[in-house]
Amino acid sequence: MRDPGLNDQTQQLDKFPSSGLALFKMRLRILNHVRASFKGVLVIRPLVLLFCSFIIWGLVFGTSLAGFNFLKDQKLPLGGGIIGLLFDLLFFSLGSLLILSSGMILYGGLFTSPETNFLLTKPIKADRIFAYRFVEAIGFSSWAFVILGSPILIAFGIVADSPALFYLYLPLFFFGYVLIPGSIGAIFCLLIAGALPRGKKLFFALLIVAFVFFGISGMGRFFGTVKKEGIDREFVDATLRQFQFSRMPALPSFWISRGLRAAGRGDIPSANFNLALIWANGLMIYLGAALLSKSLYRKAFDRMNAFGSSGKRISKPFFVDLFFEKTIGFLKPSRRALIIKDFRAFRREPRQWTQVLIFGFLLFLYFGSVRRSFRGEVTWPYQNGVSLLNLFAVSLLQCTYVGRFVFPMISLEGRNFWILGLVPLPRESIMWAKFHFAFWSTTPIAILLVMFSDFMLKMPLDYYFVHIWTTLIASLSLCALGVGLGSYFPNFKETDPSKIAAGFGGTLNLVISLFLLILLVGLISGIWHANHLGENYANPSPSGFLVILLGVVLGTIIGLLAALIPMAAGAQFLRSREF
Amino acid sequence: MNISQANDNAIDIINVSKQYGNKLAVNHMDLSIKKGELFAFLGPNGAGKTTTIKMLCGLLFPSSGSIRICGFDLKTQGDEARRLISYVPDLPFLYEKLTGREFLQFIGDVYGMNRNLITQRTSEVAKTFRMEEFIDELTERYSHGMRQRTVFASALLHSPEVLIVDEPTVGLDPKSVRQLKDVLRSQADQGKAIFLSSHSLDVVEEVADRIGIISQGKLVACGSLEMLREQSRMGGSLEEVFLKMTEEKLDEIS
Repeated sequence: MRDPGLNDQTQQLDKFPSSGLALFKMRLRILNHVRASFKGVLVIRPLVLLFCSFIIWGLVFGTSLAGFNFLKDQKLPLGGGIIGLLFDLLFFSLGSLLILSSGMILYGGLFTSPETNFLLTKPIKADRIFAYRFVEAIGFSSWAFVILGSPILIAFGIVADSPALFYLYLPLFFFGYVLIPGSIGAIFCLLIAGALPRGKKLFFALLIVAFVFFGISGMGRFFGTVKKEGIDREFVDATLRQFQFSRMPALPSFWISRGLRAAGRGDIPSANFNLALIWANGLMIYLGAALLSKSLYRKAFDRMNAFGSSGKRISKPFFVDLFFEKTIGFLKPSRRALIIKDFRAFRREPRQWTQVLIFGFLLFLYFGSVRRSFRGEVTWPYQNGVSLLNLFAVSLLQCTYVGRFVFPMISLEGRNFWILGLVPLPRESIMWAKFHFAFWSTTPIAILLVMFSDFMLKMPLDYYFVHIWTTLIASLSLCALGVGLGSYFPNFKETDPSKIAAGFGGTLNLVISLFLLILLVGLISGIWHANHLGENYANPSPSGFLVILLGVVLGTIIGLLAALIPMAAGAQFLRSREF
Repeated sequence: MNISQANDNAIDIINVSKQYGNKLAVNHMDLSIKKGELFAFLGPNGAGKTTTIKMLCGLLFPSSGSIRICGFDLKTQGDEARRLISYVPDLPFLYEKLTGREFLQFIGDVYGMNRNLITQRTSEVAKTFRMEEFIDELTERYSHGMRQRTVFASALLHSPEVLIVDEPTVGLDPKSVRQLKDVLRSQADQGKAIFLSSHSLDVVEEVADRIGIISQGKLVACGSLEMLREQSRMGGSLEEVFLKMTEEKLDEIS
């Protein structure tokens, strides 16, 4: 019906525009332009990305294939208890991580993105914007799920001689399954933003407490029960019993595990039943999230803007800043100022550091409890092996930290990078400041963790030196690689660090870091450990010592080169870049 | 019958307050803007201008009071109200991997315009804002001025009843500023309500029908330039009037 109060053209507008379709078409157009931009000079980028993904995929596939073949050789039923439990556990862990990551990415997309500000001023319904952002968050958060999950399951299918239909079921199960944790993460995200606009820090603090509590109680139970001197079937059974909780029939991870195993053995009715269960529940929970967004999203956005920051005046410097400033007091004041700026920005963003804190603390708890898993004194071969694994775990945590937080640092300077570019310092100083921040904020913690592990395992003093040197070199090269590649592949248009980390440069950085990590730990510490494989601790032979020395020197040189080359390339790129 | 049929007001801000925690960003504001009126909104930094604009666009909701766009309450009938609004922010957003034409197409789709109307209006606004030369290039290659012109073109594409403009002249060359002033004036003359927030007092002085001055969240003055001069008991330029009125308000508070 014509409204005489409105102009002629407004009368012609559709009262209920299909904004969802408009958003979809816009995204397709963007994808087309991105695809077109890959033609010619930039074709190397997607190729490297594909190659890196393929390498990771291949590694996981090879390991899984070997593992399943081992289980088959041990006459363990591939559709049975242990495999079932492993699958339950795999999907439970991936699902839990998906809740966290999709919730956090969605939070950034719904509440802090400039695009969302733009869309919210248009006549687009709140649930459409939510759906648009949800698809994006799911895409970003679940690619690792596909990269990790598909090779394991394809390897399972090959070893279990599964029918061809099993491989067709895989994507159906995957896409259905990611809907469930993704939607749960979305509901949490909306509720936290709507109900706790100012209590986010408290919420995250409670989350950490809950994680720590469950971590301690879980490990206590694990180490309390599993007290054996060797790895045998009883050990495996006892270990697996600790994870029985993941077999609860009400858990979606149980449905996907059961459904895929059924598809693997050609039991189509059971596979279909579980597939239907997953999709029905996934869609139902998504519907709940979408309905919630319809009534809550705009209100939550308003509350986040009105109450999102405490508005607290910061008149005095925080003691942690002062402490950090004193720690790096030997640097030039200008460089120190840049590092303190980064440090302040980092600590005021709890989303950035809570995940690392949780994993670091869990690692600390594990190191503190590892001895309890042995009934008597830890035998030397175990001391030797476990200490190397612990060293690797610490470096891996640092690698994740660098990939997630250090790599995006240059990009996060964003469109205002020219301000730093005008600072009367060479542009590489900005890079070095970021490097110092990354190095000094992580290396002492990594070294303390490694020393703590060695202390708990009662390692000889020479191991301390070797491990500390490894950590130092690994830390140096990982931080420099992260900063260097971050400067070489900057994305000044993106404001979400997780998206920068998940982009081409971030993925490349992660892959190279992982290879570098394996190489450095292998060369500097691995050869050392390999020369101490005997029943008891003994000094290596002269020839063995020579090999160790060679490994340490080679590892150190590679580590230094891996630090200097990306930093030089990054500096060269930044110097020549126009803003 | 909705309110747009009952009166000529395009925007009704009725006793609106907005609280950020303990801070009252907008304090019991009452303001109506008629169709065909070009209203300029002035105020020092932090006075509450951006908060008011965000509430007018439906990005934020009033803590108390209500805002109506052509009779539609922004809180309860937000989707209907937003169909009638266009907002040009001070920092325009464009999709970097779309061309100007595709961006306009997207905006047309979002507002539910049919394909023929989008094509027709695109060529009209492209001509008005001299976009023909770059409309088929990706917006990532646009200069600030080109971006600003594209955003204006997109804002006028669906012929909105209400145009909300925040700092439109920043980064524009003199010719574009002149053109912009003409466009704003002509939109108002066609019966659109224009809500213009700007620090460019010369632009405001030239084009505005009515001027509102906000200070410390309160609308301290509202009327034509002549009325403001009378109210401030000063006969000088808008700049002098503005400084006097905002200083008086600060003095009252202190």
